[in-house]
Amino acid sequence: MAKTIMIVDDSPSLRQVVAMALKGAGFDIIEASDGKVALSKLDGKKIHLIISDVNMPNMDGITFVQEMKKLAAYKFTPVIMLTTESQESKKREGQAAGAKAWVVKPFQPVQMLAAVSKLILP
Amino acid sequence: MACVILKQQVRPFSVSDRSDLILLGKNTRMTQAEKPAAAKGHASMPWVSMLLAGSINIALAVAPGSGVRRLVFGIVSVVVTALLVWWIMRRMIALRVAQQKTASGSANLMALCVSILPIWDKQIDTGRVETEAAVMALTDRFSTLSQRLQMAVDHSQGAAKDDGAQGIVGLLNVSQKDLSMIIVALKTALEAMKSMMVPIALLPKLTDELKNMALDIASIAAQTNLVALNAAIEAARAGEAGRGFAVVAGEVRKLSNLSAAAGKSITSTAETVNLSIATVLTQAEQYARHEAAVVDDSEKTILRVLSEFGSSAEQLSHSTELLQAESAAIRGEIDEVLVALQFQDRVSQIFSHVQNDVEKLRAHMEECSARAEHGELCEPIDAALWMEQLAGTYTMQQQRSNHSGTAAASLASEVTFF
Repeated sequence: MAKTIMIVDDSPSLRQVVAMALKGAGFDIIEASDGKVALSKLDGKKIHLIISDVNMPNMDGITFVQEMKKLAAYKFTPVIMLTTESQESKKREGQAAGAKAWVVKPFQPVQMLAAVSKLILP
Repeated sequence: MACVILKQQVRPFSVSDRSDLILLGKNTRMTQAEKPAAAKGHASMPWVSMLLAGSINIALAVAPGSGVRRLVFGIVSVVVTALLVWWIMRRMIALRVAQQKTASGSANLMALCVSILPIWDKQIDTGRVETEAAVMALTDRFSTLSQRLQMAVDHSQGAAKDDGAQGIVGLLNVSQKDLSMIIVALKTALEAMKSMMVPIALLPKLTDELKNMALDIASIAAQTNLVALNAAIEAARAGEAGRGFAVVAGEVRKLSNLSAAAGKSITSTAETVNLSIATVLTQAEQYARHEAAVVDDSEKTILRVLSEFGSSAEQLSHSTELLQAESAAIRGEIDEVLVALQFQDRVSQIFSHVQNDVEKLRAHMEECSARAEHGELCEPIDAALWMEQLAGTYTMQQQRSNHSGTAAASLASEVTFF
């Protein structure tokens, strides 16, 4: 059975690009346009990995990761932050929130798939 | 930002501001349109005639010496005063015109900013939205392209794969095995027929033996006939006593004749059988040769067909390999396209920050405009703080580089694991 990955980004085109790269590798995709929408979609279904942007309206990526880590069902779901931010201070914020990796846009699909394979839940 | 700087330059003029006064005095040139305004300004100044009259009185009152000297001194004083007054008036008129010009320019600039900034904002937004839609359509097309390519490659691999009975290579292997089995079966049948012919070929020998046996029978019959003849002679010589014996001898002769006839019949039959066997053997050998030739031809044909199939399959397999290699290369290209398509997200973020700053400036200009209508001064902008706040909104290294004027960093992808 295909594993499910959630993509959280306010840019529809970016979500589409990430989805295309991952669907080609056989993953099922759930999309969310910001942290708030993403939280509303965490309704107990099994999600094997989350890829989240940092700067988003309504709820930013760091806050979203902090909030999702409070949910028992998703406490151990690995998160990859995918952002244009490359400052060390921001990366430390992501790490403190519980993210497992930090990918700076634009990403290489091969690198993203390697990171996903490394972190995704069995 | 140009609007902000100009706004700061056109603050209300003060006479005490000597540097501005000198600057305006040096740089101001009246146009034909401005001259009537200056003249109007001149006419509306009654204090000038009062100053002139006063200076004449003072000059006449304080001039030393005789009447003529006093008169000359008075005239000179009046001329100097008049020139001084003329010069001051000219400067003041020029200043007033400049003040009116800058005030009018400032108001125009503010009105322009208030009108144009929302339009810039909309234009940027339109650019963002249209780019977003175009990039999404493009991504969609590439996605379809990639899927179709994958399907074509999968189909081709399925057709050429060599596992199982599916696929041309697998089919070829199975056919080769089946056809080889048919050739073996044909050869086995041919060998069985040859084996069957061996005992048949032995039959003429047996019939020869049969013929010899028939000859032996004929010889025995002749001898028996001779013995019976002698017995009949001896029986005749014995007379009455040998009459019965003569009957027996006669019967023996009959039997010997029958035996001789049987021997002849056996010889004749054996020759007929021999002839038939020879005919059968000849036909069987001809048939066997024909069969062997047919089997040989069949084997050659099958091998040729299999070879042609093999060649076709090899070509197909080669084509499939080429297709796979090309497909891998195209997938690599599509990966690069995916990287390039992410520019939209970056551009959108940059546009978004510019939009926010344009909106901030528009709000400020609108407030200035509203205050100006009430004759109030606009809050001066702290340019350094503005720039600092703008820098705080950046999310990309390129934006920071642009802001600071340093060289832009490369757009290399970066993955950090925690």
